[in-house]
Amino acid sequence: MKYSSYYITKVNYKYNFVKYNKSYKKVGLCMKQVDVLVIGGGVVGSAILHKLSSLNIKAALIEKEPDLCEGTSKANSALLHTGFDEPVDSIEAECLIRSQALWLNIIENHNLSYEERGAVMVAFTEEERKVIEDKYMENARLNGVMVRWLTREEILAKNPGVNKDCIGGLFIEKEGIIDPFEATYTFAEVAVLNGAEVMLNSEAVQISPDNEGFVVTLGNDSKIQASYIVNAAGLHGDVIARLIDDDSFTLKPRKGQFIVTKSHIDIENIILPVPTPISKGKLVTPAVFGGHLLGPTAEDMEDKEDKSTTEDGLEEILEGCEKMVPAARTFTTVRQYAGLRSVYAGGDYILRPSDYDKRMIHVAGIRSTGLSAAPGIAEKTAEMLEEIGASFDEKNDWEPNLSKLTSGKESTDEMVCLCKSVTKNDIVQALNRSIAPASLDGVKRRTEAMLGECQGSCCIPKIIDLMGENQNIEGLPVKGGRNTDMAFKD
Amino acid sequence: MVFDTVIIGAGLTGLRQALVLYADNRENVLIIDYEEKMGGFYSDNGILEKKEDRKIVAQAENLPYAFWGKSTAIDIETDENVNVLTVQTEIGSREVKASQIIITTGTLEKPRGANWIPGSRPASEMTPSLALSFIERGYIPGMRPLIIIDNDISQIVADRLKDHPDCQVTKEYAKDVEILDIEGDPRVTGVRVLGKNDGKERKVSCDSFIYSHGKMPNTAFLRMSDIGLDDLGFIRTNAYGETTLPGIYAYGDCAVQVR
Repeated sequence: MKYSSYYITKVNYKYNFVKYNKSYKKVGLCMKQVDVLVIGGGVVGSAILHKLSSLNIKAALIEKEPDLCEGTSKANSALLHTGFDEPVDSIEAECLIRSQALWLNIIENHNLSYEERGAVMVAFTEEERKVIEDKYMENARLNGVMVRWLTREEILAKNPGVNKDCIGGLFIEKEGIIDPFEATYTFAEVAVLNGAEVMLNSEAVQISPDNEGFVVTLGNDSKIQASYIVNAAGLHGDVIARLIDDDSFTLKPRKGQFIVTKSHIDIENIILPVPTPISKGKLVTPAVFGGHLLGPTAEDMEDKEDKSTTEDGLEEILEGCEKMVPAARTFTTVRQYAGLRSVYAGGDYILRPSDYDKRMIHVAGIRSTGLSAAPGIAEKTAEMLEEIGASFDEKNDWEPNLSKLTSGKESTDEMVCLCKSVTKNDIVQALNRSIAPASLDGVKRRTEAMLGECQGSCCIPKIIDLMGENQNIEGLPVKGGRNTDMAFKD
Repeated sequence: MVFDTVIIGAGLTGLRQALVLYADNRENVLIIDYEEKMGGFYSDNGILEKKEDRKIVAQAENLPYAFWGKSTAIDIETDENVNVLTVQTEIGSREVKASQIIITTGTLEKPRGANWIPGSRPASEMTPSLALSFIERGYIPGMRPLIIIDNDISQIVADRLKDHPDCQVTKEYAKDVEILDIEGDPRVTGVRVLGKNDGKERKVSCDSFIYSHGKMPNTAFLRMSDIGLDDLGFIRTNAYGETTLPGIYAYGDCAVQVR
């Protein structure tokens, strides 16, 4: 028994430097030099890296976890939101609106899983109808989002599971559902294909400004010289800001619990309640992985690590959902999860250069709309970089086709995950991607294996064997964040 | 490829059906299984401890029937009275036609998620069969595992770890406690339980949690088919094992008898 492996956080540097990197050069002794360093490998940071990779600059991204997509990006409602209800003239609304056209291109260019399901905000009383007409129709018009009134019959025709007492609702045609994991990895891998670099297990522990920009010290003591920094550290954006003594904002976690259903539910659209002054309410949405999502709660927390579900939270979701979908309480479930959105007391996004050092751009307080707004945020970030003095132009040989990254590794094709029909070849392909998973959760997010009702009890042993064969793990099977082992060597 | 009969699932139920077919002089039978060998999902983990069970596997292995290991049914369609089964194999998906299909795919453990147990989602929480797979591969789930004894497999896990020098096992019986929630991140630090007899809440300190409760039918591959399933996914059959489609039968744990 190796006691040293007990409760350890193992940092596997072998995977820090991603393959296919064209621009890696040794500078000086071992100081890496980049034009722009993105801190944080969630969907927002990855989208920014994706955008930067289309420009003639050297960009890199650092992520403290062993994989991308380990924070808010992995636990959310997986919606592409139009922004029909966001405050007019907010930065959030602007990014969401800009993102709509950008997403269509991205989805098509990179062949992402996406379904334009449309959302219905369902009214049950005349008061609710009035709120929709007076507030939401007007807000949507000002934000340039197409909406229209649906009759009760129109709602029930597509969504027989909805409460028959509804009197109609607001139809937001362009609301869609997407795979947030695939979106994050695709952004990052396309960026890598185009010369950007992704460094995992790389936490920024110190940032020292100098004439050239910043020297960023990582947890393993290696250093990176960056002319500009984009702070896309999600919930930890305030921690990064404080590394340059910027204490201009504080981020608080807001927990959102969700229920994933197994039952077949007769609901085709995304079903939203009419918000009350106190709460946005709970939604019922189909998921691209199959099944439906119910939730979320909105609980203001102190602990940035507490992603536990609670009996009260799950009850609150069922209570909220059964008003709109009466059978909600009888649904069978595959699992429940919670994510932490990053909330800034000012309400809107923080998207600006730091007042303490303009060469650091904050992309923080992205709340719950980060996935939907990511492409717009990325464009805005590039514009800000230009405003503060970064000079670059568009690459003319930018390559969006990820199939250029296939490893060519052959495998047999028997079934591995029974619940989600994932084969051995699917897993082996995922294990050999340019940003390769080093944990079971990483395989889950790339292949959907282990996402089904047995939650991996059948296929985890086979996947661990494959990860060993493909050298994605050394020794112990890592489950997910913070490199935590699922079991110990006997 | 055309067979008289295909048996899906080479666990004990499926192998008993194969022996029945042989006694009935049926020829041209194919048996398929997700695992590489006959004996069912847990046979690799040494669960076939009963002598009579091992005997059934040995007899079935000697039958003059085709066996495809690492082969998983992914769909069944009925086309003009011929059943067409799609099987995912090592060389991709293959179509198999058969006048008779026997489904004996059994059940899977119902894990924490499907049992609505709230709390954190730590790395060291797993079902008994997964724990057993780890043990077979030379791992242990933790130094201080809490095992909820609910069935044969959880008992076997407890027995295997009982004498391990680095393992201090805590056992709780499913009949005595209700699981309230799981604590700890990234590893389990404790599980809150409610005593069913005394109505008292207490926290069991542990570094891993081995739990499942109830069974889920292993019928995900039938979701798109026309075969009648109940709300939980069990295959509806009559007393003779006939499903709602002609020529397709289901036996054992994956089936439920309805009038």
